[in-house]
Amino acid sequence: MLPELLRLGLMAGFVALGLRVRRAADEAGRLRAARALVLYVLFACAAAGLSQRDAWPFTSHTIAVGRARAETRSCTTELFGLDQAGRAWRLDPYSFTPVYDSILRFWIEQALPGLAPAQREQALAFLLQRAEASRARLAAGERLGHERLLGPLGSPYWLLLPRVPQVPSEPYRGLRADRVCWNAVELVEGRGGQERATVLEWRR
Amino acid sequence: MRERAERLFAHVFFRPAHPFCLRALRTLVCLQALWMLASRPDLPELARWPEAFWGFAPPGLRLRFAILFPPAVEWILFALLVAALLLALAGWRPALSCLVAGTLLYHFAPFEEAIAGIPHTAFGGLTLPVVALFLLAFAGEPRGSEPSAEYRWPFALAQVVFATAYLFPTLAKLRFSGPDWFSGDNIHYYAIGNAPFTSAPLALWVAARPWACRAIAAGTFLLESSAPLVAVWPAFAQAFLLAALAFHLGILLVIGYWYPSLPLLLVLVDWDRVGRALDARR
Repeated sequence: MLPELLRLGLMAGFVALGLRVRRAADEAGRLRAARALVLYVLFACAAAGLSQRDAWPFTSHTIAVGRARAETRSCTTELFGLDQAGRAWRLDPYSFTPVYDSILRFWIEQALPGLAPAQREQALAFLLQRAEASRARLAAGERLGHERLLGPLGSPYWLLLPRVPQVPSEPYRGLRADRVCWNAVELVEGRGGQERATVLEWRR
Repeated sequence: MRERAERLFAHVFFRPAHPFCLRALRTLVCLQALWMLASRPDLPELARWPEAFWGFAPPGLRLRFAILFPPAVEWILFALLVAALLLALAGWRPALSCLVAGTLLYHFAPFEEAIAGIPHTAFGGLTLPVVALFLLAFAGEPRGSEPSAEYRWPFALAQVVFATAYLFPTLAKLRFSGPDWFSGDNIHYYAIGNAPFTSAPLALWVAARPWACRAIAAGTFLLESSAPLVAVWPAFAQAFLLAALAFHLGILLVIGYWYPSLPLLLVLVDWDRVGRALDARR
């Protein structure tokens, strides 16, 4: 709780110093208050960037900082909808909008295994309902996620996972998650394939 | 040394600027925020997600961003946010409309990733709009066309905040991976490693060409580490804008990462000069 409150405090300090600029009586006072505000923002940004402790919107911008190596083994969780006959249909990355595929994957990998049975049932039933609503939209020729209002002019989520426009005409009855791992160099050179294991299968 | 730092500080943040700088900044961040919201039209729906999904978010995160309201209230706040952005864009009581818009945008921006603890919210296209809307609220309304230091600091500070999106990733790369991050080998394996995830169209083409990998590595270091100069030297900022555009296009084609803040590169335009030129033509 404390780190989040400290981050909130950092934001509150920004607003408080900003309001001092607004309240200053004359131009000289405003510029003095503005100077304090500028120094505060520079400090907040530098603290986040140098310590690599994010305090969004004063942020460390930590992305793609690791070294990629030939021996790196990559894994992901692929999500599927299951139809009445048990056929698995890969879900579009915007199926759970406003939560994107990669974020939900993270939750499925890290949080789902620790849930109590009743919570797990509730969460999976909710996800099935969202996946089914998205299936129905796609089946009706409607758009999802960033394309819903703006079509191709919408701004996608930053990680551009391949879209999956094909959906069954019948509703989903369940969900499946597969853990898929590979070595990218071996995969690209045709020397190795993907290892796949089903980690979740759930039906209503 | 201290005197030189003071002079640099005054030059960057308090030399007179045309009020057009504030109008341009307000227009850019409002349009960017509206674009992002129109691209995320169901953000308030997160309020419907059951409690089970919040177990992995850091304790206090929901309090920090006030993600506490029922769906009906979130939808009202979302509508209010869009209205505030439209009013700010139109220049109606900019201090008030920017304050309301900034506050509500701070609330909604983390929604997309909140259940995972906002790992990449900085990359979501709303970081600069949130900070800049608050700065514009504090700066107040630009009046007339007389240049003033009061029109420089919010604009320059927004540019510096934007530049950190380039500088800090380089610092992080140096810290976590060392100088070898900026090697052809690393880019080669990044391109190959991301290909199975994103199927980026030029990933394997680049990976197969060591000269291209080395050029990307060196270009990344040069671009990211030189970013702070955009606030010091307007002519450099114009060149940086074009180089950054090519950089993001390259990332899109080679790695498959989209940069939602791309239109915000326009904050690097020398709006001070544009404002003065417009005045001269009148």
